[in-house]
Amino acid sequence: MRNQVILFLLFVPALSFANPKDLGALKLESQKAREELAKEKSFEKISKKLKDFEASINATIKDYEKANPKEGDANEEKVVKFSYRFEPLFALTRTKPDKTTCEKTRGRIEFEDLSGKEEDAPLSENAEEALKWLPLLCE
Amino acid sequence: MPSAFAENPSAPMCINKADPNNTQLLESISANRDPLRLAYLVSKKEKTAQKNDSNVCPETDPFKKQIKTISRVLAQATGQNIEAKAAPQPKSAKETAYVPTGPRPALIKKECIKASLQRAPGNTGYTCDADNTPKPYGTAGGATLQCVTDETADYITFSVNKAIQCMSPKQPIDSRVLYTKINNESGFNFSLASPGGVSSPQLTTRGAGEVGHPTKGNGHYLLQEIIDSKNPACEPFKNIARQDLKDSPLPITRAKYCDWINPGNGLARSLVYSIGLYLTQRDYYIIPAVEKRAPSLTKNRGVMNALSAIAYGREGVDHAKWLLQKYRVDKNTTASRLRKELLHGSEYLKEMEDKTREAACINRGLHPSSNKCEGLKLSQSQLDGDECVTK
Repeated sequence: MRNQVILFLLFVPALSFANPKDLGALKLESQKAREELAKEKSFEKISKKLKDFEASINATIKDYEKANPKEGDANEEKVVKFSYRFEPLFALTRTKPDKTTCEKTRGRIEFEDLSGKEEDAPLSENAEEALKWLPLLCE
Repeated sequence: MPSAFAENPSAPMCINKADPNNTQLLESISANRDPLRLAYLVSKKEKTAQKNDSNVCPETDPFKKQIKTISRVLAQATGQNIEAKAAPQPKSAKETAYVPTGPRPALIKKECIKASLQRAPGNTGYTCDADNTPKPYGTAGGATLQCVTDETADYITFSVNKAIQCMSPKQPIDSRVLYTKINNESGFNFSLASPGGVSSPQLTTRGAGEVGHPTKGNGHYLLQEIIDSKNPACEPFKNIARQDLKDSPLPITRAKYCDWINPGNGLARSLVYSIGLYLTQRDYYIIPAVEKRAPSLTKNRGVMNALSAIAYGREGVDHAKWLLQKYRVDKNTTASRLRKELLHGSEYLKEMEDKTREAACINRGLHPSSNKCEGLKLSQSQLDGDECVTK
């Protein structure tokens, strides 16, 4: 019992000061979720997975806000900018989108990603990852 | 026909200290007969006629008169009966008289555009052949800087303000954003083109796609609105709106630079698309992002203009949205605090303010790199472009 209490006391502070997830962790989470859905046809199941991922991103951003209440840092910036690519996808989770909505969503992801960049700039890895979800939701 | 050389054909009065022999740009403006250019020439002729002939009773409805005159000139120039399409004949005068609704937009002052044109923005410039092929004239600076005259400034002012009037149907466009943005990007030099962007607003395919892309563009409806508009200010832009609904001018490639930079349709198109981009970015990206965090700040012109400018510039929409998150903007955030934070967090905003200062110095007869210019005290509203728009 005494050992358990000692372990608990050691573990609690470690938990409360745990670093929020970084960009790499969230990307892996997205990839893993997509792979699990590779053969899934049910829109509800795909949508549910995406909603779970949205909740995970939002919780991560909240963790950053708690860790730095006054001003966001560079790690948070990377996570938040990753989340921007997914925002248009999260809006598609209510009902199965039609072709026009899917095309507009693709356009929005690409537009925001390339906004301010030069004519021939390629899409970012964040946008590429978000766009891989689009066929799952639209086809 | 009036031209840049009308007063002195051998030596144009360059306002930008360019070599007076560098007249390719002036020549291309002078030779252009696209609707926007014709509308300018008609308006100029009317102004002169009004001054000279006070005995002639003027048409009671100036808008109707302007439509008729522009349509007649366009029909002569193109050999088509555009009048019927551009200005359908009314059943009664009451039905056709254009009545502006809502507040009228502020317009950009010529003196500020003239000052802006005296900045040397660098970058490669082009003129366009009769068959719309781009011909590089060199850099818009140094020995190849093209001569611009008072009339060039007059024409650009006319064009920009017509586009602002046309595209402010419900809510006026804030002309200060357009002035400070275009002053920063190109100094109102519409002949610039590079992979970084084309024409005075430095548009890229992706940005222009917000208006030009039939399915992905949030602002594609604006082209139809221009065609359907009864506002006479839209007349010079209907031609390109019709063309682009039939056949998109995108992507912007080197071979198609003149679709964006020639002094008639090119200038008209780049203005419509840049104002369209500003409107869609504001309405589809910036307002929703601010509304989520601090709805009352959407009513603050300074905040919205600063965020729109960041989104429109090289830092892009992502950076504008990130700054709201970075500075933990919420309903308790004051507009003045956020303005300071945005300026701190955006290199592009700082650059815009520097360039506005530069133009303000030129406007006051001060050299931009002089000590007097550096010491010139400008208020925040002056740096926002307040003194460059009509009240």
